[in-house]
Amino acid sequence: MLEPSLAEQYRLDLADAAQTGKYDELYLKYLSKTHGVLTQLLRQLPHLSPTEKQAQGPKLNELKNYVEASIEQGRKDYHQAQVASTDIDLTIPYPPVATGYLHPTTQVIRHMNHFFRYYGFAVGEGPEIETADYNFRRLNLPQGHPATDLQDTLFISEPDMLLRTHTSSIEARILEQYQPPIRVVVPGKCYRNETANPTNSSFFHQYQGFVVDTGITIQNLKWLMTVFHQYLFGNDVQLRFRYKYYPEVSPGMGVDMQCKFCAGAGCAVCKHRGWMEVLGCGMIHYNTLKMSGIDPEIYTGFAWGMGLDRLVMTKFGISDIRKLYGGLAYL
Amino acid sequence: MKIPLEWLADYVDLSKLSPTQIGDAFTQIGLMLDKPFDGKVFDLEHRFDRSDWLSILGCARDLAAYLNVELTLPKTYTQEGKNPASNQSVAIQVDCPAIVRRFNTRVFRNIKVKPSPQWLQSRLEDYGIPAINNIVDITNYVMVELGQPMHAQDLAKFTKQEIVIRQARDGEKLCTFLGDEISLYPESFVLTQDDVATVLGGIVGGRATGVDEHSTDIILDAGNYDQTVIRKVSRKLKIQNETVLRYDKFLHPDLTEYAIQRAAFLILELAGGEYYQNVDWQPAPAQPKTMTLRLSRIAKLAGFTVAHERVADILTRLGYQVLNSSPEGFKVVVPYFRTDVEVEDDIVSDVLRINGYANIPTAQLQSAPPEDITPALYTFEDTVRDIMVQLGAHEFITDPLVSRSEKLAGAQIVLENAQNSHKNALRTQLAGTLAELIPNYTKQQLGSGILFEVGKIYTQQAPATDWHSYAETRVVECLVFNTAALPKDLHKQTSALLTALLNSIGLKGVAYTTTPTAQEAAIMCQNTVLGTVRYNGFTLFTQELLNQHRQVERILTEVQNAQSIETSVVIAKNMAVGDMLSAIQATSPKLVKVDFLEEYTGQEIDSDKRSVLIKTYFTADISQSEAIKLVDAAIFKWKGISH
Repeated sequence: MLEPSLAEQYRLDLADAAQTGKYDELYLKYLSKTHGVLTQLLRQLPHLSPTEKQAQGPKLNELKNYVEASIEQGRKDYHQAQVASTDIDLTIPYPPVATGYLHPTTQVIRHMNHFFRYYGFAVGEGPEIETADYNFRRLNLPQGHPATDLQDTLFISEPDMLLRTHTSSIEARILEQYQPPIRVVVPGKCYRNETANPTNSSFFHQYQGFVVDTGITIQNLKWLMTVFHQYLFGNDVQLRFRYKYYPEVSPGMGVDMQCKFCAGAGCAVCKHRGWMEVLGCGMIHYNTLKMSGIDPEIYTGFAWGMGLDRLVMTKFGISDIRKLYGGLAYL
Repeated sequence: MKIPLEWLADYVDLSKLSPTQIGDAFTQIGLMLDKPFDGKVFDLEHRFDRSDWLSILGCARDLAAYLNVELTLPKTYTQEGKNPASNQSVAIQVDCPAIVRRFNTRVFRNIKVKPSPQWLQSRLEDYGIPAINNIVDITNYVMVELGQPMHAQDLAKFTKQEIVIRQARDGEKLCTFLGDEISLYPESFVLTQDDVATVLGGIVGGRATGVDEHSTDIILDAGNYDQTVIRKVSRKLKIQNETVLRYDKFLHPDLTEYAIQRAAFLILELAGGEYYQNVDWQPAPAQPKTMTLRLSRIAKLAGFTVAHERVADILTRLGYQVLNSSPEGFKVVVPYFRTDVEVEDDIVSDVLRINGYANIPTAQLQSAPPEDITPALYTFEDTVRDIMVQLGAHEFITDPLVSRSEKLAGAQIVLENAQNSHKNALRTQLAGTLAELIPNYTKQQLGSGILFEVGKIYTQQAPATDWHSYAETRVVECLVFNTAALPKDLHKQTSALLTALLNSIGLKGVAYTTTPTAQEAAIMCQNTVLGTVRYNGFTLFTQELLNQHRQVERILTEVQNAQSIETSVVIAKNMAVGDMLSAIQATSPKLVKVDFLEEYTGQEIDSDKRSVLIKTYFTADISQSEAIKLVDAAIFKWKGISH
């Protein structure tokens, strides 16, 4: 049954493949599961008489082993010959494989989250379309309070439905939803009714955080803000803590960082103040805790909030907030 | 708030301090320097809570308390004026008592209107108010000094010895002292003479009754009004001035009397004349506010104790009246000018800031971290961002505010008061926003890219009734562009990206089905719509992805795809490959997955048909012939051909 020429034919085909490198075709011709010449002969073996089986079986198997081994060896030899003979200019810098990039604001948010997650903070989030209740009233800003002028609000339906003017609205929601102990940071989008210019946009990002527990004091706030700024700007960062009013906290506190450009001497970057305002913070207002169903005689807490965009723009050398959120391309 | 140094020195001894030290002290107590000291004037940032910080005396009081020096109060004329003859009294009638809390008046007769002395003129000019004449200058001086706006009118220009205060009429006109004609509306209120508006209450005086060099008899008023009305009206009329700056804050009615006493002193000294009592309209005098301050509350918020005597000293210096004191704390009357003090913690604030924030130590958080309440979706979105970046995509964050579209009326959320018509609604989709970014690339000679954003789209149910009518849907939007590629090639790239993303988050059994919109196909998983795919991009609903995502099995240690079959199928051009793959996928649990390899149209294939090559992977426990039969049967069934 085994034609004597099959082995010879294979040797000829193998010799061709050694020239062309078409070992896949060679393999399929002899060993394809469905139509390989050798596969079909091997399939017929069980139907042969015992004598024929005894005569053909070993020869076929020997040939099969030879085919498999010679193809594998042939592939290797061919590849090596190719490598040896091909003229590759290894100095050509081909265009790179495309690589992705995270938005600068995402990078800064992650960097900050990394710090606060280490200190046991959860990340909170919530709606951007807000009610005046969560955006103002629960933060100790009753209707008509002059503080509402601070953040000229974009209303969907005045006076109750609006786009949140700060991430403090999420603080109000989380304080209502959870009981202490609470440690949360909230990075997020906010909106104000402003005409866009290089430093202000009607849409911007804030990074908010708050802690509520028993025994929380303004000393804890000062400590956390200190280590946070050391994390962001290095251990030699110089901070100034001063009183500042914010309606949702009492006592309130402003935090300034000594200007890195002039070391406090005063320059154009710091508006000749020697210091740059970095964030506002304070002890969460008695009324805010009370309105959230948290007993302010038992629990105390602190909160802080900062604009993110200026920090991002400084870090990445972007001069216009409109470019940060619409005028970028990445290499 | 601008504070001329020379003026400030009337109340606080600053002789031993440099301007830098004074500026630092102001900054510490809450009055940060807005601009560097120019040699004459401190320009301090004002926070809206402290109406008394819109007066030099208010700022001086806190500065003196912080510096631990005496505060010298300005001189006032505290004696009562003469009683006027019955026909010389000016009657006051208030027809809008909901707005007016107090209207305090005095009359001065036989005064001499002339230029103010140089010291007064230069102080006003240092502050930024031009000098006019001694009477007008005194009202301005007292306003800056004490924070109470005042107003003087020439009685000779009155047609009746009466001032009626009423709400303005719609369209009523008033000529201001600067000669501008303004049109009023009913929410505003006016002082009138014989029913003619002479003053826009709390905002600007009129020309008709203004004091000039011929005036000899004047009526001086200091009013107290609802600050929310002043704020609304001044904003609507776009009038911002020193009067509005103060009247739109919460001033206390008692301040009017102090201001009149101070103005009386200055008028009698600088303009002479006689001083007469007149009506002090105040139907319900405000009661003093009494509060308790516990030393334990200071310790609770500060984490340290402040000595009893120190607290008492601070309170007194700030104008609190200590009614009684005990080892536990104090019962105090809050000074009337401190309209910001609401709760005990506000008094704690006063103690801590005057004691010095720099004196507050730091203390590490001691308690154990609480439960992590980070939403799973937040973490998941970060995972999606990472995968997209791994796939070579660039992340963007774009402005959710867009221009209102008539086509989307009812579904789009529109803003009521946006200043900018290009930003007066919220976006309902992200694809268009990303497409606007392509020129950022092309102008940099970058011809291709993959852009994505993980963000929200916003829609409303019409008619919107409450907060629940507004939906914020979180999506992953991806856009592929290549200026040199054909749409079909862009689709190959888009589809490959999408499949890679879905594989990377462990989604199984994803199917693509046609939609009524020819431009997009639905991405389905477990009968849920995950999003849509277009030739050059896709939209995925992040929450649905999170619901469907599974642990990703990327590591193969056992043979999973034991065998595979490549099948070529000829189908009509209008039949969707996605539907066929779904039909095959549903064939047997032994079928691990089915992949599309390529499609072919050419001479050998009828022009209305195409050949599609697919590859199916099976587990080991099915014979190859059975597997082939399964695939063939599924294809025949899908094509509607019985086997």
